[in-house]
Amino acid sequence: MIMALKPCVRQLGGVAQVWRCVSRSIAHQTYRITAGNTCHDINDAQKAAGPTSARLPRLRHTIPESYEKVEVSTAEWSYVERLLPLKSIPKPTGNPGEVMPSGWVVPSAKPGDYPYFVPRSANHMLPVYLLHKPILSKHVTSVKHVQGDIFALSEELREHLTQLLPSRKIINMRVHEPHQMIQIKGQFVTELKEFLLKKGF
Amino acid sequence: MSLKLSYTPLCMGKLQMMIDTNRLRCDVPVDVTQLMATGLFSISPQQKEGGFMLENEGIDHFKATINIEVQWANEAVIASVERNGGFITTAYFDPLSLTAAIKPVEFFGRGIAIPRRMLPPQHLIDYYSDPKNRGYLADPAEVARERFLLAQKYGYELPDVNASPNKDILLERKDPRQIFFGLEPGWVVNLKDKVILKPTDPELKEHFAS
Repeated sequence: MIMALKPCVRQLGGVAQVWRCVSRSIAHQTYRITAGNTCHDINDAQKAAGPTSARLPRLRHTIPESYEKVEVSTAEWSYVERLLPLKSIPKPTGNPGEVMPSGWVVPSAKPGDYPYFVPRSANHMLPVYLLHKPILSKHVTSVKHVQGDIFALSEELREHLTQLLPSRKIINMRVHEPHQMIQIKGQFVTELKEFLLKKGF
Repeated sequence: MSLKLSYTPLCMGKLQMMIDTNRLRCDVPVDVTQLMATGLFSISPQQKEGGFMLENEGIDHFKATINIEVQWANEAVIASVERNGGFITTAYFDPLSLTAAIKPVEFFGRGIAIPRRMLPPQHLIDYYSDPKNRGYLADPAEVARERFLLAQKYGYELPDVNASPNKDILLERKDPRQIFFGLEPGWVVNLKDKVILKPTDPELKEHFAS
């Protein structure tokens, strides 16, 4: 709703001057407060708007000073420290080889035990992943971060899978030494994780 | 426009694994803030996500004693938590409170007073007032009675909380208008100077009070 244009009179140093009120919508009403003068534009405009509109009370633009008075305290700071997240992933505690209720196993193998070494990921999980595009029926199981003699591990995995699946004639495996990973065609995540856990990785 | 919120599913198996690997700290009550502090989840309240809901997967291997507060839980999940001597509460967080709860450091950096948590909307108020769902608005006496009845239904002995070494942690609860444990609405947390500013004006105190 646009206010009607209405001339209003301001007394400025004894000389009456006529200013035109610029029409504004209610949402953007601004008060022009000049020194020594009171602007009666808004109330007059509201009166002119009609008998149905009520006179709005003058807005308080000052916040009471008592609101600014605060009590400074450190008594509850321990509750704030609880909320701060950790900067790094915490280290799990437990005896090597211990099986936790969720099925997570504490690693027990050391780098010298075997010709190869498979460390846990940053989240302390086994680095065995399933690559699968949801639309294609193409599954690739990959073991990553393999250190040391990766070909020895690949031979052991091939032997293990041949034992588990006697009906399978070919096990397609790809050993990528620079990327420290072994890729096997098919879904063998559970089998490979069990194999690595038995070794203690 | 749909008012229905979606919740991030959290399986009991994953919860147990987070506890086993020390990812989720159990020396404090577990709520949205602690679960988000693990860094394993992302919640966007602007996309009408309400928080966490506990799922049944891995329920049989759940062995931890925790005091957990989530946004949705079914009967089997409640039984699995209580069977191990823990406590579970379902609580509603309105979008602004949830934004503050999931990223407290960012929220405190804004320098505004901790807001009052709003009550659930009409279609959710029944859920959170029901003692069967362990709602935060339900009568604690009725919740205690439901705990006893659920133990009978699922056939386990309800462990005595007074005998537990973590009694204080297990019995900590938030006020319905509180977002963070121990911090009241109206307070401003100054992370730089490590102080809390509390209002003294009676009008302000009344506004922020429960």
